[in-house]
Amino acid sequence: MVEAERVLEVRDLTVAYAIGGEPAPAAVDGVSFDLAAGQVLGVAGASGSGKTTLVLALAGLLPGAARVLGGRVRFRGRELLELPESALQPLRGAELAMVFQEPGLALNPVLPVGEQVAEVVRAHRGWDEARCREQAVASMSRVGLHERLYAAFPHELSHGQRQRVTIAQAVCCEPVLLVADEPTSGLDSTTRAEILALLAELRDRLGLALLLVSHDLGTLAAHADRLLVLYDGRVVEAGRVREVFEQPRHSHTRELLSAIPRPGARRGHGVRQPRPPEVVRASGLFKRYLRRGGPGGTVEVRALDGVDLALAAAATLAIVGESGSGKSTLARCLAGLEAPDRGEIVLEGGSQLIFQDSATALNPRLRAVEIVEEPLVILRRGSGRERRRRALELFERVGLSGDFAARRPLELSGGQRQRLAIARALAVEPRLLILDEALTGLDVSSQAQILDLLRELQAAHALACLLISHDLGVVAAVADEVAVLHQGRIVERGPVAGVLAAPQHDETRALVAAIPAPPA
Amino acid sequence: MRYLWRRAAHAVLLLFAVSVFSFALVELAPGDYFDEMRLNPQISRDTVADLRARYGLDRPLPARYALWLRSVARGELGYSFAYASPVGPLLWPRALHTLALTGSATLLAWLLAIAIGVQSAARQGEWPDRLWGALTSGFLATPDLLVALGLLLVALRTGAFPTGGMVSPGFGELSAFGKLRDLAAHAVLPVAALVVGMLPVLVRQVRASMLAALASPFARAARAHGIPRRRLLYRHALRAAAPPLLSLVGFSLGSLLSGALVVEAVMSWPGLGPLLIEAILARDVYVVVGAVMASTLFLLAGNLVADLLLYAADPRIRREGLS
Amino acid sequence: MTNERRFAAAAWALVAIHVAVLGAGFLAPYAPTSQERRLPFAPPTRLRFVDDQGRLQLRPFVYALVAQEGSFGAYREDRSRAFPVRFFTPGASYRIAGLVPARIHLLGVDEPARLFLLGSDGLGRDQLSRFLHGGGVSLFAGLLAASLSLGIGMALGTVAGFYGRWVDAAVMRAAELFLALPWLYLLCAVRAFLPLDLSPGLAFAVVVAVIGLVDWARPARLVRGVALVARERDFVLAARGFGASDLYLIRRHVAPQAFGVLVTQAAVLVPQYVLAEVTLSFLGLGVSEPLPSWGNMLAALRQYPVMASYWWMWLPGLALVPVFFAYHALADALRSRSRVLA
Repeated sequence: MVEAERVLEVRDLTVAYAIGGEPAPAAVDGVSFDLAAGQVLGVAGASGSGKTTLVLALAGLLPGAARVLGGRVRFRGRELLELPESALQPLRGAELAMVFQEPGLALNPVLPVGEQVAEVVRAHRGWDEARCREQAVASMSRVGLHERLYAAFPHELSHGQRQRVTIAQAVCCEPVLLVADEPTSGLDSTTRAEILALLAELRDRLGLALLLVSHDLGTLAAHADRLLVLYDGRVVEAGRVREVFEQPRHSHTRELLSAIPRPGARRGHGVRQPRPPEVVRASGLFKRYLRRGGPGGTVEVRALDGVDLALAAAATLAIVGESGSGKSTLARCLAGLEAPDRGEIVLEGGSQLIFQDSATALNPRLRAVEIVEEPLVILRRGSGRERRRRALELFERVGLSGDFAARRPLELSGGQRQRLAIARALAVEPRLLILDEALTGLDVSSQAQILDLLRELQAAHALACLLISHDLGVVAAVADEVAVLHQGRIVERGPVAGVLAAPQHDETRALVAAIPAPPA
Repeated sequence: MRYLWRRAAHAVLLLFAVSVFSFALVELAPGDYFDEMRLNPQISRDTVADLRARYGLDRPLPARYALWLRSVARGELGYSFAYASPVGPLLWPRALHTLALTGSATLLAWLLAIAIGVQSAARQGEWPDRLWGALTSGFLATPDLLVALGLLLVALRTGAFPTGGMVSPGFGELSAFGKLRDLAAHAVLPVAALVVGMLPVLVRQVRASMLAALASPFARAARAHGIPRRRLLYRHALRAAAPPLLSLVGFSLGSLLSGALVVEAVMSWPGLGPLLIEAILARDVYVVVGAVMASTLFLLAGNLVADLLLYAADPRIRREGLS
Repeated sequence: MTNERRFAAAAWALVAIHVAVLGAGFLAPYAPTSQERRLPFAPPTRLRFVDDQGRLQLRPFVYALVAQEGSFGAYREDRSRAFPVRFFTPGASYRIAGLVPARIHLLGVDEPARLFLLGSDGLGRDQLSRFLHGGGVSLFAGLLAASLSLGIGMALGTVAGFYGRWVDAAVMRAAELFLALPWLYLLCAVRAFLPLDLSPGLAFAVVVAVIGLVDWARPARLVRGVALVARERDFVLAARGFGASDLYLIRRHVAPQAFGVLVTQAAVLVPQYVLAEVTLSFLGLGVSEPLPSWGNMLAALRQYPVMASYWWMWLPGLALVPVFFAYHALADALRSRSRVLA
């Protein structure tokens, strides 16, 4: 068998961030790997494991505070780390291309997308405007974007279309290596599948070497030949995908593997009481908004169009649907923060809402323990010391160490913040906990931790959970029942296993089809 | 586009509101101008009677306001007691002079600010950036008043520039080219004073906006795609940095006009500023109202122009229409 | 210089300046209104330490100035008699903090010599004394006007942002009206309709009131923005979900955010208000003679001979530069600090 050209050789790459002159532990520590043409290498690891630093280091795009402390990066025989900016610039985009995580942000908001692709062509080919435009159009059609979108601006395109544009930019000059950093996180499951399929197709067609970086081992597994697992900046596992999955050597790999939400595999099972009491019942919920824009001046948006639901204690109901289906409105109505235009909600005991963005849900000026205390302060429960003790107890309950008490929200990670928010919610002992996309944006391990926490709380306090999410994988791992919301109506409902195994409605089918499946 | 028409209509409404406001102020003022005027021996009885008829001098406020509005429609904008003439013909030449001054100063200041700001942002932290930063801080702390006085001193000492005024005596006899040169020579110092006043803030804004654009993910992505530095700066980053800058134009206009008032007063440039001051000291009510309205008109019109530019520069606005 | 150091340096500089002008009565050798008609536009008096015989004197001394015969406006020193500089000497009476009468001045010389450390103006008044007193007038006009405008702005902005709807609309329309005119034009217009012939004390009050009342719109808009954002923040919603009252929400979540913004705004507005007073007084619309303010002192420069020949008359204007510089440094430091916390 002919050896495919070895496109990338990385040896002992070590990068650290110097913050305020203090030496910090290496973000990337002695990483080595090879990549040949036509191969796909998946790089997995939790957030903070060094994946993004690695990616930036390869192309010489590290921020000023980062220093390469050692190692080599050999790209097609050339030592990238030794090249000056002027020698790197012609390589980037033409031979070594990159696709970044947030497609919406990687595009210039004031230039038409087609022109942004043409700019890349122009930078490397030096052709005239017309020829560059031709090439850009060709590149766009290759990624499935029609020519009429050439003059569109980024804000006029969908998330998935934007990511396709960035891929078009990356491949328009037919590079040899494509590095994709979390190219699908933040995308909903359908789009995610489409983008990954696109990358695979490009690999076949152009003979690209593909370096795919993600925190989602499931996704990588389905699309990569070999896997690299990073933990704390070091490579802890390397090998063919099948080997890694069947015989993981490092404990962290095992953690990541077990964290993959698998439909059909439930984690933990409590003995259920017969016919638990109902905690909430909603009937005939209807709510509409008037939004500006559109030809008539205002547009009526039906957020909720006749929704009924009921939830019993210690049960978890998941509400799924694509963005804009009305999920958030439903959450806010059930939490008492908004009133539906029509319909009735009957609630036994209090309900609490956990928001999607913990950074804005918590007052950044307060310390963690003050945040958890706040409900008790407002309701004037207990003395100052008792409140403090209860707050620390709640810390324990959600699995946050007491060291965090003095920290401010922005000093914590996303997962920690959400746990803090849950602790605050628990302070008033609600019967119903509503999580509005609260797990979105967290890495798999954090998600799993929170899901475990919820299960514990349910078992200990008969807490009912309403989980709102667009991610069926997460839903499958924790919910008892699922309801699919589409344009303000519930189009399908039933026990989770049943609905996922045999979806009846188109919408459900689309959602289910988009769950990435790990091998066997 | 509809959005812009709405803004224009809003501006007209605001102009009306300001005129009512000014008239209300006149009403609140202690003392009675109109009595004073009647006692003034220089003004004949016939004139007084005529003025009373035209402007309703001793009638209640709403009547006076209505008559004033009518005189605005006629182009007169009331009557100047000090100049013994309708306000209109006094106002427009002065307004034009102020426009000429502020217009050229704005153009020059923005061109310089972009040149300096982009380079400062591109070479952040290096010595040119630091130098400009220090100069900017220094000039920011120097009020327009001082700059104007200082430049006037330079003119006095060196004799290289005319010391104030807009035209030299004997202007009428010059050739067309000669007139232009004379005007330009007189304009150099006032324009310089205004530019020096505006530049520090503008440079800072351009630099900040460029730095934000250069730090954003799309700039890094452009670098990752191999776009060369110079093109990245001007075609990509500056284009993206333009909308926030244009939003700030509106704010800077107010201080530009205020600065122009001071510069015109110090350097005897015959614009709206000196007219207003004179009128205040002479208690020439309608002139005061007229000058205030003219300056408001400039401010509102300038804001509309800025909105137009913003509309052209930022595609996101075209789609949604700002609320 | 680190942010903390910059903040401290600027703050201390401003404190020093303000203390100096507050102590004007004591620090100034003369009363700001006392004239010496025989010595108009006298150059700054030279402090001497070495006498005619070449001996070093520990105590500095001055010579009296006499008008030079033959030439107009020139002076020569009368070396016949040396006047030692006296410290803590009694002089014109003044009031500490406007209440307690006192007579001791830091420096002085015996008559008929004059200690014009910063020269004299057209009426023979000591410029140093007027500079210190005038500084007090101008700087405190700025501070007082700022308190007024920030106070009103805070109140109206909070109410508008928090309660929204028609309250918000009303306040914002009013703000728009005030912001539709260029600021200096607006100040002049409002000033125009108040009596022009006022006693200096009243004129000062009028200037402060005009500047402070007219500019409430800018701080109000800022505070309204903060209140609006805070009101929509999820943590406020969450607190409301717990049953918190409006007053609690304003006090705990909105006001602290607004306060930070206002403090930074104060550092930006005070120098502008000082400049407004200076400008108005320069144009004859502000503080009136004989009460000095840096503005009406600068008005002397409107005459070309004064501007070109007597450099010490520029000092009130030049002094504005370090004051503004300090305020700007303070504002920058405050802005950086709030960004870190936000």
